[in-house]
Amino acid sequence: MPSREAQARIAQLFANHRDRLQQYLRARLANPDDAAELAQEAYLRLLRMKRADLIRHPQAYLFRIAHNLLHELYTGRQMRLDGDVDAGVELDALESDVPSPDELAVLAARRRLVERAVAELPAKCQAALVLHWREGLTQKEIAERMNLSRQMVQKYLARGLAHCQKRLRHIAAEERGDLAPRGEK
Amino acid sequence: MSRRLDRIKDEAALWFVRVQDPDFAASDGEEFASWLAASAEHVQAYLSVASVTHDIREVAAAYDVDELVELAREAADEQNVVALLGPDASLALSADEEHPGGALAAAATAGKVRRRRPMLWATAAGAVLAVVGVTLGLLQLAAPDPGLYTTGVGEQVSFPLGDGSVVTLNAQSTLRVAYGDAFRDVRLIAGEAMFDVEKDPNRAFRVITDRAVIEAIGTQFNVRNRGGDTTVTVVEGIVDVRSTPGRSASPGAVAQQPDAAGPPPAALHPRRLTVGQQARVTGGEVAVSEANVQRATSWRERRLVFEAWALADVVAEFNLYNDQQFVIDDPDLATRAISGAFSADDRESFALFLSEAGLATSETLADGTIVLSDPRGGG
Repeated sequence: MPSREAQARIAQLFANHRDRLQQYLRARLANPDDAAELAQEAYLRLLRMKRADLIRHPQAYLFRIAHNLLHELYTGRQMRLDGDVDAGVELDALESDVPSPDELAVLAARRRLVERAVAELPAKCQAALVLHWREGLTQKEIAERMNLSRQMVQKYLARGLAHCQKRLRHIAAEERGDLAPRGEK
Repeated sequence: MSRRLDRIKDEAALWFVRVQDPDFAASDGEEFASWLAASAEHVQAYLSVASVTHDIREVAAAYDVDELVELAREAADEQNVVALLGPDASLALSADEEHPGGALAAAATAGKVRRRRPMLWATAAGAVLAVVGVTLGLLQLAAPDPGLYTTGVGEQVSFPLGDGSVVTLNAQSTLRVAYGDAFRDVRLIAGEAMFDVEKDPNRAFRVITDRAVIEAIGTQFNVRNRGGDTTVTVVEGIVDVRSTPGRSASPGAVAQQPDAAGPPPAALHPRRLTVGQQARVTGGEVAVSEANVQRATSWRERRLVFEAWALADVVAEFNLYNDQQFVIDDPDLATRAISGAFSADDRESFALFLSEAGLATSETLADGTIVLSDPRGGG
């Protein structure tokens, strides 16, 4: 099991590299079958973790597991989950991993879909999303600016994320069904 | 099916946002970890939701922030009327799903409505529970009986109890929670649940079914109360199982008792189970055997694993997860033994398996019911 220092280091590395990690996942999870398989394996590893470790940094550990899995997938090398490996080295390798043309095409398609999904949201939701993800306001600051409770801000942010995600899923299902592309105006 | 996945995505998004909050408390980490560990689908939904934030950031660049905030203010004023006329503004969180902006409007305007909202969140122990339940319509938190939880067809839900213990409730199950100073009682009125119990030497944790009382101090175990039997499988730690012969607990009777806690009914033959053991309580008998723990808990991944089950029982299990039901039109066919592992949500693959194995032919009716028949025809 990871030492306390290792845990802190992993949490810190995760905080530093989160964007990149998410971008990486985003490209690799485009194929629904791969995504399901990766999630299944990540889940099994998660269950094998010591509960106390998971509770301390649940998100950091989940992303770390997912990242290790992706890394294994692409290098064929089995990695250890217990924090002995130097997480910094792995994440450096990740940064030099440039998306392939196929992945870039997937990312561009995603972006168009998310554009459309955000446009469909009510103004409140849009405002919360933009204030948070572009302006970098915290939930507390958004609450003050929009005269909302913190909980409502969380709800609007969550709603926006969920809506975009659902739209992406619908499209993925359509593509798999070999349906004609829907009127991309 | 897709409604269920949508619900998981909603939960995932809410967790993702809550985790981002700098004030996210360590105690919430436990709830979050439990939610993640509830199923692979939760993990997948969380990773997917997380991966969409980058797209949102790119897209957000096209918006004019000030204009947007102004628009949002106006939207609130308009929709305020609707929200205040709603049946119950304090439950507007759920109405919000259907009426974008409605609940928000309630929060943003009249002070009296706004003041009611934090109360919903402030009830420390039940806060997350209440919000998840109300927001997602997942748990039926009937006002007169706040300890009663029910899941519908195909629904699985994981939630923390006040003491840090976590319950995962399988589809079509009902349980009632009654905690007191000296006891922690949970009645599994019907269905199946997995319990991950937080240690508390001063308050025993008891699961009570119409057949058995299961007592644990700090452990993880699965209880299945279906078809008149109670089956207990120990994943971790030790539990005591006692049968309760002659006790009839119809769901209605239990649900109506305001104090369903109290001492458990007199029970005979306490049996101690350790890791990997299983007790089946039928009538007054407690039969202990070695368990296949993985199989007993595979429902949490929505996998159904059968080893020489009668087709009728297999079909009953599938029917817990799907609105459209299987029926068997031949009594001999109903007793045929089936083995295999299947996805609970994939009825078609199971039907295909039956026909390819020559076990049964299937026909889908207009309402989605799948009728299974003997392939050799005859009756």
